Parts: sequence; C-alpha cells; structure tokens
Amino acid sequence: MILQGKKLCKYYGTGESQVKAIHDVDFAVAKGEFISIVGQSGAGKSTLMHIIGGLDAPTSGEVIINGTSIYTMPMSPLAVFRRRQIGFVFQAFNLVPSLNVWENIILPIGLDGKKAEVSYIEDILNTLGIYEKRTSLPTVLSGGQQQRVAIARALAARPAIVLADEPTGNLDSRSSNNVLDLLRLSVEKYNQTLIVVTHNDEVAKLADRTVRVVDGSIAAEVEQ
Amino acid sequence: MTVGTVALAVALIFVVLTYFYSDDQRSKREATNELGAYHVQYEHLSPKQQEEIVNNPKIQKHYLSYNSKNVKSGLFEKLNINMAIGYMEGINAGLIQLREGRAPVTDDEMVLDKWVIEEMGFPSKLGEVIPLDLQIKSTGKTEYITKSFKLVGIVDDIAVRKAARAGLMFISKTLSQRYSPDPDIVIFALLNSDFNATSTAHKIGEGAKLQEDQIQINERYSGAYEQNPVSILKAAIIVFVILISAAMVIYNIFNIYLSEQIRLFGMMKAIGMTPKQLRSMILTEGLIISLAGSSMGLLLGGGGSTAFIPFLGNMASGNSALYVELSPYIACAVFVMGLILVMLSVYMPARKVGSLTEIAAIRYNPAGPLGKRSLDTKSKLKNSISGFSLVSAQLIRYRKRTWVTVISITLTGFIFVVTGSIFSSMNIDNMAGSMVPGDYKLSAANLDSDEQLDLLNDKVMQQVKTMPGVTTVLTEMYDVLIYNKQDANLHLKDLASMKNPDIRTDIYAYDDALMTSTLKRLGKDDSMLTELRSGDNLIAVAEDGGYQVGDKIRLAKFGEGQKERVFTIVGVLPNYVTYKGNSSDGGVLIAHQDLFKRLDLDQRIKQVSVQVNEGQQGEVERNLKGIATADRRITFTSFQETYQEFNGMKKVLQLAANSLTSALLIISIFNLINSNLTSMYARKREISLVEAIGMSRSQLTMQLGSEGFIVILFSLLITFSLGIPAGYFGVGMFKQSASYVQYQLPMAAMLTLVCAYCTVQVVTTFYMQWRLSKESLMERIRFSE
Ligand SMILES: Nc1ncnc2c1ncn2[C@@H]1O[C@H](COP(=O)(O)OP(=O)(O)OP(=O)(O)O)[C@@H](O)[C@H]1O
Ligand SMILES: [Mg+2]
Repeated sequence: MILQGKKLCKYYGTGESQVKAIHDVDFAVAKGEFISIVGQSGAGKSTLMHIIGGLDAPTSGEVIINGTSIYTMPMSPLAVFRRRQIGFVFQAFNLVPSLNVWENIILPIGLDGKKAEVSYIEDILNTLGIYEKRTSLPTVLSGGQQQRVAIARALAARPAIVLADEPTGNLDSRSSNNVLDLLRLSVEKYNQTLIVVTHNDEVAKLADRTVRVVDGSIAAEVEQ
Repeated sequence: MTVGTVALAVALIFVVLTYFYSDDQRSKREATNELGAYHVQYEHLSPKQQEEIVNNPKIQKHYLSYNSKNVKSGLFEKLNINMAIGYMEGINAGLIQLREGRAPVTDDEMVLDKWVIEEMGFPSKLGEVIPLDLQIKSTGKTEYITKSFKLVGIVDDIAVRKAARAGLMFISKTLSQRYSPDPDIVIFALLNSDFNATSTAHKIGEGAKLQEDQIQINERYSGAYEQNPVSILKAAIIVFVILISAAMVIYNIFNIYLSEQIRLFGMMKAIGMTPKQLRSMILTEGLIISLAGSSMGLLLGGGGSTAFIPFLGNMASGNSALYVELSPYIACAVFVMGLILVMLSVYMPARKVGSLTEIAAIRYNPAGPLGKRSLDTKSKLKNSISGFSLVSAQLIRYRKRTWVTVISITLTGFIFVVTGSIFSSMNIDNMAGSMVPGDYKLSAANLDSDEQLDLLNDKVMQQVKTMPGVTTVLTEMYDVLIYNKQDANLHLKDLASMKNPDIRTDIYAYDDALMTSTLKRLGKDDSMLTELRSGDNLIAVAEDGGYQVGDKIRLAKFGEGQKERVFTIVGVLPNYVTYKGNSSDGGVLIAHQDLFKRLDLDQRIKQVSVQVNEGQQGEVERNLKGIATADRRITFTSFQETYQEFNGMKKVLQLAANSLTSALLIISIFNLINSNLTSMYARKREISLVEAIGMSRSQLTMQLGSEGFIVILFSLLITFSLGIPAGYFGVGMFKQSASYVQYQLPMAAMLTLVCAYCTVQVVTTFYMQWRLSKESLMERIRFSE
C-alpha cells in the first residue's frame, strides 16, 4: 500500500454547530492504482483529498504514505515531502498570480532546487493545448485554461501520487478527454498513483476503483 | 490596520508641526527676553530725525533712549568695566529684562547689572545706596562730582555681556538731560506688522534720511518674528514634504488593498449596486476610517508631545526652555488633512472601478504586463526557477505597489535623515567654544600709551603655567595694522561712516594651541598651521566683512610711511573665538604668533586663557583672581557662567532634537511594520498556495525576508541619496541664523535607521511566520479572500 488513511476524522467547529466533514474513514490505495472519488456536493470529498494530500491535518486518525505517518512530520520536511511525492490539482484553480504559466508549472521543481526537463513539460503543455499561453499571467486565462495549468503543475515534478479535485469540472468533453488521457498516460508511464474527485460518471468509470462518499463516510467501493 | 495607518500619518504631521510651532514660540520668547520686543534700533538721531521716526504710522510702539556718552565713572574704569550710562524708556515694559525692581524715576535712582553691583563690592539688593564718582564732559570742560544713587532695579546677568565686561547703568530722564543736554538719541521701534519687517524698518529709516549704519535691525527679534516671502516659502516646503509623506503612508496601505477593493467593488456592481450606492458605501467607509484614524492620530501625536512637557520644562529654566505648545489651529488643520488624505486614497479604487467593466474589475490583477524580457523567453524557456525568481516576480510585476511602498518608507526615512542632519550639525559645543577658548582668562588692560608696560610678562606667565590644575595655557598678542583703502572697499561694509583717516584693523596673534583649536573649528588640519606659521597668511572673521578663502589684502604697520604687505586669507571664521569688545573699523584678523615675530609686531602677551582640570577649578580661580587683585590693570574673567548658560541651552536643544527624531524614527518604523504586515495579509492566500505546492518554512522565510530586504535596501538607498543632500541644504538654510551650525554627516541617525529597519524586517518576518503557522494551510487558502 502506498497510501493508507486510518480512522480519519475531520470536524469543524464545536457543540451544536459542529460539522463532521469526514467521519471515521479508512482508506487504502495501492501503488499504481487509479481511484475515483464521487459523492454529492458537500459530502466531504475535497476535505478527504486535502487530508491525504498532506495539506490539512485530520482531527484524529493518521495518514501513512510509503510507511511514514505524514502528520507526525515537522512542517518543513512535510513541505519537501509534498513537493516531491504529491501533485495536487485544487478544485479552485490555485495558481500564483505573480508568476506566468511556465513559472507556475516549474515552481515545485524549482523549490526543490532542481532543473525542469523542458521538453517533457512542453509535451504536457502541448497535450493540454496551452502551449501558446506559456508566458501569460494566470488572470488572463479562462477557467479551463487555468485548470489545465494546475494539472500540468501537478505532473511536472513526476510525483508518486497525483491528487486531482475535479480536474475536468470546467472542461468541454474534448478537453476533458485530453486531460484524462494525459493523466492515464503519465500514471502508466511513471507508475504513478492517481486519485481523482469527479462528478462525471464517465470519468469515474475509467478508474480501477470508485469510492463513494456520503456525509463524510465511505458508503461504497466499486471495483471495475 | 487601516485606521492605525491613518493615525500614524496624522500623528506624523502633528508631531512635526507641533515641534516647529513650539520651537518657533521658544525662539520668539527667547528673542523677546534677551533683547526686548523691538524690530529695529535707530541710532545717533538728530531731533528732527527723532521727530520724523516717532510720528511714522508704521511704527506701533517706540522707546526713546539717551546715551550719555560724556558721563564716565572712575570706579568703573578702575574695574575695567565698559559702562553704558543713560536713560531708557520701556524698561518697565520689558525692553530690558529686570531681575527685580523698576525703572529709575527720580534723579537719585538708578538701575545696574547684578554683576556690576557685586564687583563694586555692594550687595545686590534693592534700596542699596551707592556713591559714584562721576566725570561729566561738556563743551570742553570736565566736571568731577560724587553722587549717591539708590538702587531701584537690577538687570539680569547675561553671561556674554559679563564676559565682555560691558555693563549697563540707567538713570532718570531728567538727570540724563541735565548731564548731557545733547545726548546720543536712540529709538527702539516695534513695527505694526512682522511681514517684511526688515525692509520696512530700513524704509522708515531712509525716509527720515538716516545713514545705513544708523539703522540697527534687532536680528534676534526680527529673525524670530519676521515673515517674508522667503520664510513663508520655507515653511510651505516643510509642510508640503510632511504632507506628501503622510499621504504616501496612507496611500501605501490603501494601495495594497487596492486590487481587493477593485474586485469587491466590481462584484458589487455586477450584482446590481448603482454607482451612487457604491459611492456612498465607499464614502461612509472612508469617513469612518478617517474619523477614527485622525482622532487616534491626534491623541497619539498630542500625547507623545505632551509627555515631554514636564521633562523639558525641568531641564532648563528660563527663556531657552522648550515647552511643547499645542495649538488648536494645528490640531484642526491636521485633523482635516487626515480626512482629506483618506478620502482621496479611498476614492482611488472607486474611480478605477468606474473606468472598468464589471468583469474586468472582478478579474483585476495589479500585476503589470510582463515586459520585454518575458517575450524573449518565447523562444527559449528557462528550465529552472529559483526562490529569487519568485521574489523578483513579486517585486517587478507588482512594481507599482512596490514603488509606492518604497516611496512611503523612503519619505518617512527622508524626514528622519534631514532632521538628523540638522540636529547633528547643530554642534552645540561649538556654540560655547566659539565664544570662549578656555575656563578662565586674564587680560591686560589696553593702555596704548604705555609702550613699555608688559603686564602679562614672563614672570606672570610662569606663575600661570605652573599653577596646579591648569592643563592648557593659550596666549594672544595684539597689534593694529592699517588697511589698504582699496582693499577695504572690497571687504568692509559701512566705509563711509568711518571717521578716522586710517582704517585700523585689530590683529590678534595666537599661539600653537589656540591656533590648533581654531583650525579644528574651521575643519582644517595641521598643515594649515604650518602655512600660518611660515607664510603671510591670516584668518578673517566673517562678522566684520565679506571674505573668502584665497582673498588677498594689503596691510601696513601702524605709523607713518610704513610699507604695505600682501596677506592671504586662508580661513574665515564665522565669529571671533575669544570674545572681543569694541573692535576697530577694519575688523579683526587672526595671525600666528610667529608672524608677529617675523614682522616685529607687538610681542607682549595681552590675554591668557587657561583650561583647567575639573576638580581644581576653585583653586585655579582663586589663584588667578589673586594675580588680578594684585595688579588692577589685569582683569580676571571666568567663563563658567557662559558655559553653564550654554549647557542649559544645549541640553534643551538636544533633548528637543532627540525627542523629535525619535518620534520620527518610531513613525518610520511603524510605517515599515505596517507595510510588511498589510502586504502579508493581502497575499496570505498566495503564500499559502506556494506552501501547499511544497515551499518549506525556511524557503518561505527567505522569500519574505529577501522581499522585505530588497524594498528596504532600495528605500534606504533613495533615502540616503536624497536625504543627505537635502540635509545639507537644510543645514545651509539654518546656518544663516546660527553660526554654531557646521554641516556634519548624520552618521548616527543613518546607522540607527539602517539598524532599526533591518531589525524590524527580521522581527516582522518571523512574526508573519508565526501568524501563518497558527492557521492550517487549507484554512488560509480557503478563507483569505
Ligand atoms: N473550514 C470549514 N469550516 C466549516 N465547515 C467546513 C469547512 N470546510 C468544509 N466544511 C464543510 O465540510 C463539508 C465537506 O466539504 P467539502 O469541501 O469536502 O465538500 P465536497 O464533497 O468537496 O463538495 P463539492 O463537490 O461541492 O466540492 C461541507 O459541508 C462544508 O460546508
Ligand atoms: Mg469539493
């Protein structure tokens, strides 16, 4: 198992107004697996992704990646771990506004003090159809373009785990297919693990396994 | 945060204006007390001129004075005191600061200086009856009488006058008229208006056909009170610079919020808010912020200033003390300025929104266009990005914001550096040092007649040198030279009024030690000492004429048929180091004693000053006084009082300077903190995002820290490169009124600023880190819009 979530809980607030965004979730992903997460809006999908992505500490429970319980790590090693092991595509496009597309994409590699492989990233940009926009600032891009930049950024460092929160939410079916093809190709080629949150049934069906989240708990797991 | 910023800016304006106002009030008070409240003094008047001046409608008040030059007293002469005897109006009105008592009314009443009374051996008590031997010269014959006067008033000692042994004696009008039916008439006049007072005073004098030298402007009073286009312009420039700085402080903060505000306003418009509603929303917001901020700023500035009142009041009593004077006008003006500045800053984003479509406003990004460089990268993409790229992207693409921050920090720093320059240049040690060379002085009476007499001869000098406690002995010689008429024309004023056929010039010769300390004042080194020793070189005194280094003047020895010699002026002193009494028409020149030897001038020592060990002052004073008592022709002078007077003044000035500069420093530091924190809050989401992508803590520290340091570096560079020259000019502006000012690089102030900024940057960087780590990453990304 490359990734394991044990008895994960995430509660917001206290007392009567307490929201149990995630409640007692056990979760395991094998290396190279492609998993889709589905569920109603507000079910807790994003929350779960943040927790397993090392972005948000759970109220209780632990996340183990490659045998390390990540939330016991101090802040800085966790950040280093994140940029090397995890590529995250946020639901809302989170690009750095002062950096252009290209800089945004190679940022995680740059932070690691490494050099990006230019041809590889150019390939990604071409596949995603945003090569022309590589020197633009994020604010002049359309929603879908921004989302594709975020995907390119997640893949750029060739992380072991790619987490994508509704990566095709803003895309037409053709672009959406391009994105999925790219994700699958990358996953196969580099033996990456892919977890995708989606509302799109077709996307869900492509996965090895679909996890349904209902009111903060895992209701069902469907193997394809 | 915004309220705090406004408060800061308002406090800045308030503190600085209050300081200037208080200082202005202080100098006015000082001028009035020291020399009296009058603009001009008209001298040697004929009755007709007197009449004309007195009736001039431009004069608000005038005081008449009769100087009875023909009356002398042997007692004063024996004590070597140069007395001015006469009648004076306006004593009771404060024209002369009386320690106690009143003006003389009857013929047997008089007013004297306190120190004069004491030197005569009488207690300085009102009602004391003092007999004086008077010699009254009138129409060729001299009458000797002895008359007793009752002391009805005592004049407060003024250390400089005492050191110069210039005393005052006032008698009643009738007595003055009886003794001198044709007295020297002087009128002290206070004009109706302070505006252009100096030139008005001259015009009045010229109207009454007075010579230029009959018109003496009271520089102290006019300097403090006069308003003219130049002084108004100066004040306006100061206010303008302060105002701009305050405006930048406010604008800086609002500018950081600008993009957010624009997005918000765009959203409001998009959901159907009318421009009118939007305007009133912005207005109300601005009004609340500015009202709260201005009030807080006033409290802050007022409170800060007031805290020093008791402190300053105690530091030095008397006229020179600086009291913080809060003016309601300034408070009101500052309050209104705060309102206006905020409204302007608030309106900026509103105007911008007006010019954008709703969607453009919602998607507004202040990052500038990428510029040429990034276009070039089209052909070749970088394969790496360092933390520094992120820093430079931040600073360069948001260059407008960066500039506003830099300018805001620069301006507050700028004011700090300029005031620092002025205060560090006000070397107040110079002030006392320029008047007196040592602690005590013995001087030989100027008995020109007796060519052979050498009062301060080798024996006396030996005695002085070996006195226990004396550390340094400084000697001066004296002679008179005759000025070449042509050259005198070039350098001296008021030549026309000189009555003597020859223009006599006093020339003093200094020994090595005195010359060295004089050169130090001029900022010259010892190589100049050699020049003065071996060449025909002199130091001129600026008070006495217009000189420039390099000027050549011809002088001849005193007496018939002496050959002229060319001398070079190698230095110009603002005023004479050892206090002089009346100087000759040709002014004062200073030479080295070696020159006197070479030219065979008078080799007798006329004056010896000593510097004394702190602990042995009493002993030395007694011993020196002993020499003076043994020979009445030798006068003893103590400079202790002069020093004390200056020290009190110095303390007050320094304290006031320190409190103003520290207030300014605190304001610039707050401004920096403010900018740092605001920019962090505005970018919280972005910072968190980069962290989510995998930026470690230390990288974040580096990023935030270096961003700040680059801004500081730039600000400091600009601050210094503008502030130092501005400070230099500021000092120049100041110099005209105070000769003890000598430009000095404000090293201490600059270092303080650098250290303070760096410390603040380090502390705020860590504070920001700490603040950020208190919230979880996702919380920050989610909620920081
Ligand atoms: N910081 C927070 N404070 C309080 N409640 C929160 C917070 N974050 C999320 N929630 C709540 O937790 C629940 C799960 O949110 P989450 O974002 O995980 O939903 P989701 O399944 O991703 O929905 P969607 O499909 O709409 O993106 C929601 O009810 C949300 O309101
Ligand atoms: Mg979600």
